[in-house]
Amino acid sequence: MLTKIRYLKLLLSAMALLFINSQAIADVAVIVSADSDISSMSKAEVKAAYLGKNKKFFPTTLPKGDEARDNLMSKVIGKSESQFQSYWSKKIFSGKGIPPKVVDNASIMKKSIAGSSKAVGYIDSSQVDDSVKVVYTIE
Amino acid sequence: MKKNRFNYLAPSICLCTSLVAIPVSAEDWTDRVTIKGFLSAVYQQTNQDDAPYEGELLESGITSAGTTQGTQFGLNINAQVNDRLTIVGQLHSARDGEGYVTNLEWGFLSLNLNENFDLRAGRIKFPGGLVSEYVNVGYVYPWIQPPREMYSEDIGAAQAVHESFSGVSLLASTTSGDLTYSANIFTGEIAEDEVLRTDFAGITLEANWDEKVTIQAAYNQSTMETGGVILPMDGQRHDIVQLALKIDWNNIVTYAEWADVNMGDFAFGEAEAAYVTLGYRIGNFLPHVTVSTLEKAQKATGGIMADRPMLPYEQTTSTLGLRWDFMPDIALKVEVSSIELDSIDPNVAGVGLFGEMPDDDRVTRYGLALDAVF
Repeated sequence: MLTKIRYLKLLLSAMALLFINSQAIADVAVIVSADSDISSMSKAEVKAAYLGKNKKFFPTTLPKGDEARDNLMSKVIGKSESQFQSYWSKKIFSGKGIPPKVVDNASIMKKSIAGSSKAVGYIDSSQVDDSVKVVYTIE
Repeated sequence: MKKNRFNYLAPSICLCTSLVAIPVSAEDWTDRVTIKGFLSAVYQQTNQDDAPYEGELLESGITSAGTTQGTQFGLNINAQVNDRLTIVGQLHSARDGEGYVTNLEWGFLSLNLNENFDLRAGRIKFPGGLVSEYVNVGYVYPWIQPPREMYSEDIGAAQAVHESFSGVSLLASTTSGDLTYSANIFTGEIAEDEVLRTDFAGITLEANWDEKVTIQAAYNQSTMETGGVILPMDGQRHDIVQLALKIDWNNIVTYAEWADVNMGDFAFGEAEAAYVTLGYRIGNFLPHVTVSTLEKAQKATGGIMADRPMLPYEQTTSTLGLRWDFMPDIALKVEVSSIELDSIDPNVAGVGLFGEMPDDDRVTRYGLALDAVF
């Protein structure tokens, strides 16, 4: 009997943990420099920037496997990593564009975005500070 | 780290900058120069001993002995001189006969005029056809090589695609939501092995819906000059019309292209090529089938190019292939093709893309490739 209750308790706490984890997936903030004239961007504008279709922006990205990157890819760009790589390979190897600059982590991302008037990037919402401005939020 | 290794490139690129008189410090270049590369390791074999596919006997071509023909390596250098001016080039090395040949595949400067227009000048990759601009980059398409009936530069092929041209190109594009419309207007000249194409000019129009559906129409024309080497070609007009459709949507992958080539009064000057590829993505696997065909007509009495029979022919290839993206940025491909010539009587029909008439009317080709981008 006792083992059964213990088992149930364990199961419940495991389920609770799962629930908390799913709630813990934070929003992703699309950011520009705090000095930028831009105050907001639409989802389509963010997508266009990362596909090199809006030349006003220099997109910056986190490495493959990063959770914020996965969110951007699935919720904004709507492509798999291999489709995204294929898309950019066509542009690069026909001399029609430079792919998004890859930075190692969120703090380098913030520094890179803060220092450039044309750069656009993204970080976990919890890491936003006053060096950057949030122009779009991926929920 | 990767960029630092290529710091030696900075002086040569600085030289270019001095031409446009924009002072840039050396440190800036590590941020402004992007280097990307691609590699294809290819092995192909047919069941024919003496009829090399896409090549001359004993020099190149695919036979039962097997070959690494198709193996190639490329490096792209992109130097952003300032917000508007970019200099780009591609160094390309490919197997040619028994050795490898490296050249500047293309290299041009690109001036961004405004949000909708870019002007390019230099040596530019030919823009007609769905994959012409990145025809050497195996990673971006499903096949080991794009269908040969359309894309081969073998003398027996449709001649629907070219190498690079020297000249200028104006790129125009406009985006509305997920729709992008673009136009490429170009002019210049093309220097090929034996033929110089002068007065080369054309236009490529494209409508693209979020890379899911692409429709392309292209036209270009030129005048052929051989300096009297192939007299019937001299002064003849060469024009190409191309139509293409590509779908990559909900796991369905489709490529379809058609091209019509006309070479004025030149005896061996008319060709029509087409292919259809159907594929279905299952996770990291892409099985696909392709049927491609080439018809070459003879307008007058032939026999002009001494080493190749210049008779009309039809060639049809059916290919079954599998692409496996087994790691990020690298794909493994296997293919089996059946190549069919309309006649194996050398007195009646040409040899298609073979160097000699094959023994059988159906030739089997096997291919294996690794394609990577880095």
